[in-house]
Amino acid sequence: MKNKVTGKLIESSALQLRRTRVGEARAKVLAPDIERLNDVALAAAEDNDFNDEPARFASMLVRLKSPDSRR
Amino acid sequence: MSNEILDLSLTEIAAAIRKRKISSLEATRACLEQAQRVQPHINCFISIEAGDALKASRAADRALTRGARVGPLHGVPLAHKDLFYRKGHVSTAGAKILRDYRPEVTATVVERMQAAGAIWLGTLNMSEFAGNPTGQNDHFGDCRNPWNTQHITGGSSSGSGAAVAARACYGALGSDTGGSIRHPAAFNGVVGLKPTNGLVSRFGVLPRSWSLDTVGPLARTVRDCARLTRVVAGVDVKDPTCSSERVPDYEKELTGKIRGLKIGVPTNYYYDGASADVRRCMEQSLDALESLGARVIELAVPDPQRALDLSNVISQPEVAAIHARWLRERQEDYSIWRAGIEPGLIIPAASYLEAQMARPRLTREFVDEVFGKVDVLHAPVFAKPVPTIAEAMPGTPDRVVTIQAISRNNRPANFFGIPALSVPAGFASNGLPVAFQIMGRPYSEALLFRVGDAYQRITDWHERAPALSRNAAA
Repeated sequence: MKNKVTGKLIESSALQLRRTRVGEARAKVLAPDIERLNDVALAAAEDNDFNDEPARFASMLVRLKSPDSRR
Repeated sequence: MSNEILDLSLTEIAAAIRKRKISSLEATRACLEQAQRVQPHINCFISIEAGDALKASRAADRALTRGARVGPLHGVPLAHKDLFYRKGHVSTAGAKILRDYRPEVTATVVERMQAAGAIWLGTLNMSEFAGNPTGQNDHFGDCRNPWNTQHITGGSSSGSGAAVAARACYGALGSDTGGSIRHPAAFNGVVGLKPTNGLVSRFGVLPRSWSLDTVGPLARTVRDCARLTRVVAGVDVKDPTCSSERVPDYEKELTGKIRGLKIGVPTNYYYDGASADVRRCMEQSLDALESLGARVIELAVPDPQRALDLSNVISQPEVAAIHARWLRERQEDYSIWRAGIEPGLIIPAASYLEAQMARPRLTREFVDEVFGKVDVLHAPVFAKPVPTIAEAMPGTPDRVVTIQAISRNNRPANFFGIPALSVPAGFASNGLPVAFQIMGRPYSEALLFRVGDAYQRITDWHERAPALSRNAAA
């Protein structure tokens, strides 16, 4: 089930959760972009494993330094 | 004489100073005079520190006179984007909010360059809080492109690109979170390196997005960038993300030889909407590399658009967290570019962390898929001619499209953490520079420098100087 992200949600979330004013017009502009980015994150997460530790990124770069690195 | 001094590259002036053919004082005076000449036209400096620079250059000359051991940047006039902290010195980050900010620490990269003998000419203009890719700045004035002052410089390291191109300094430091070294390098016709994440310390550098920020050099030649990178790279206990990987002597790797090297050309994404001028320059640069014995191989690369989007999922909440208090209390002190911070307030923390969880896996997939087939990837930094300032002004139709297009080809490398070197590759019909970028495996900077240097040995785009650098006094 997917509900559209609305400007009202953006405006109220910013104010109530972050105590920051985001104007109505600006919130409407932000809504589709935030919805799209969030969808991309959700889609990428489909292939995440619960053991995927974000801090592995630095060591992954070192391991990827050469093609024959053991990973 | 002044032009002869200013036309030398960083490594050439360093050698001339070391051999006492030119004094550091002469070089510094030439740069300061040039900086004063071009500043009214391109506004590349936020502060010019003439007194300190002259004093330091005299000390550098005295050190040579007494036979002191000197570093690889001894007596060379340089500058840095105004987000590298120096204890007690104002560091504005191009922002009204930090107009009087005096940090209590000095950036590791600044300390390393000073230890290598650098002379600081001053601090360079930049986008407010390193936040927009055009290089415009409402608080300190727009930095303008020395090739045509009606055009943007690219950002956020706008002054770094413009000052190097205008011969006001021999090299500069910038930072790159989503292309902020590569756009200004490309738009101003100089070389810029976005290093592997973790190669260069970020300690004492104003953060934009901790996960994506990198620090790197801009200079007129690849060899110059190789030298600057060697000076600033390497482990730093003050930056927990900094790698302990050994830093090669990059200049020794500049053999000019790339025979047999496999150069990948992406068949998807990077050429979307490319102008005829950019395609021509890319083809010519590939022809040049092929003439040196490299093999050009076309290949499809794993979805860079997803990497770009996920880089935004990561960077925007980090930017919002860094700016949270100012966003609540000082909204009116931001320029219009505050808009780039707001989305991060709303992106759920779980989505942010899911993007972080996916990053190592997607990086491994990209690196294996691409660099399992080719040694380096070649692509335009920006697929269109450099926009005018008018095209990037608020209220202009297609402004958002223009701005998003600037970062498009660059952000994927930031997400994957891989190095990317921007190299001048000709000019578009509007007279503005065009550049390719060479990307490689993590920690493959030595290879990227070798490719870029080999290219510069048989081309002369990097030797072209903007007319303004000659005529600004007129």
